[in-house]
Amino acid sequence: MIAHIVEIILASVMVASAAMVVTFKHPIRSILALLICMMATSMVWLSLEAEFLALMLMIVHGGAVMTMFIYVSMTFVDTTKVSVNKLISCLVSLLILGLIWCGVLYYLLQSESAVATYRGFNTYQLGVLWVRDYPWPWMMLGVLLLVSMMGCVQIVYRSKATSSKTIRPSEVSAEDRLHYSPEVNDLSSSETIQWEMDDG
Amino acid sequence: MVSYVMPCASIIVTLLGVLGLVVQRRNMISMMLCLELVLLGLQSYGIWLSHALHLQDLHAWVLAVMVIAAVEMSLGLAIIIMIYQQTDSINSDDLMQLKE
Repeated sequence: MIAHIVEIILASVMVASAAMVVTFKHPIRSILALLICMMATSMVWLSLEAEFLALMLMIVHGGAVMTMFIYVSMTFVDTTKVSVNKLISCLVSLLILGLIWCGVLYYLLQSESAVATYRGFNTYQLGVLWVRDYPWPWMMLGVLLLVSMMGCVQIVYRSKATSSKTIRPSEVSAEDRLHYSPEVNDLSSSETIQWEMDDG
Repeated sequence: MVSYVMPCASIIVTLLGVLGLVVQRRNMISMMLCLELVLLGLQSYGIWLSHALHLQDLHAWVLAVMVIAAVEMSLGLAIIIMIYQQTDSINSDDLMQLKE
């Protein structure tokens, strides 16, 4: 009975935080709402005997990907105007939320389905599955991660040689573009077509 | 007895992500977050399915989806940074130059 109630509460938190991600206008708040959604999801995965994936979700997605999102968002959003009272209220609410999460996690780890997770049974089975049954997809995932890392560096890296040649298409206006004038160019002739530019 | 609360929640989360991606396109960061929601919902559904049907293989493929999602987010953020360096904006409406 209690397990069912906890499951309903966690699922509600998942759906509510997902709705907040979609509706919030401020990107930092959307990211924090997604973080709450991931925390609730990992709790549910713990109750479904998927402790390795729950940990991976929190460490990789919550700890790395969302942190990356926050870093990138802070370059676009002005975060200098923050009042001290608001910061203190945020910290207090986070502390209360953290205590509630710890209580739910403690309950989940004491339940019957969590006994198998203490031995890391799911983790062991997953490791055997990947190494014995799916070795090539496992290695391909590693290559994919390496290639994506190299791709990210290649996309963002701008050396001194390339920085001066940066093309800004937003600075080109429609009047500065070349236009083809049929009056100037006679299509029946074999001469080279001439282009004229608007001085506008 | 199998509980159906989790698959319903994961499907709702997936649909919310699709809705956010299609309807609200304020900026590219929000679009990436909605894409992350879609993948999170699908992963949750996969985990529930593996628990309900006692299929351990689905855990492995959920981990693969997780890795692909992380790769996709990192590359997408790199592209967003590049677009911001070019246009000084992350608003998706500012990237409609081909329409002019």
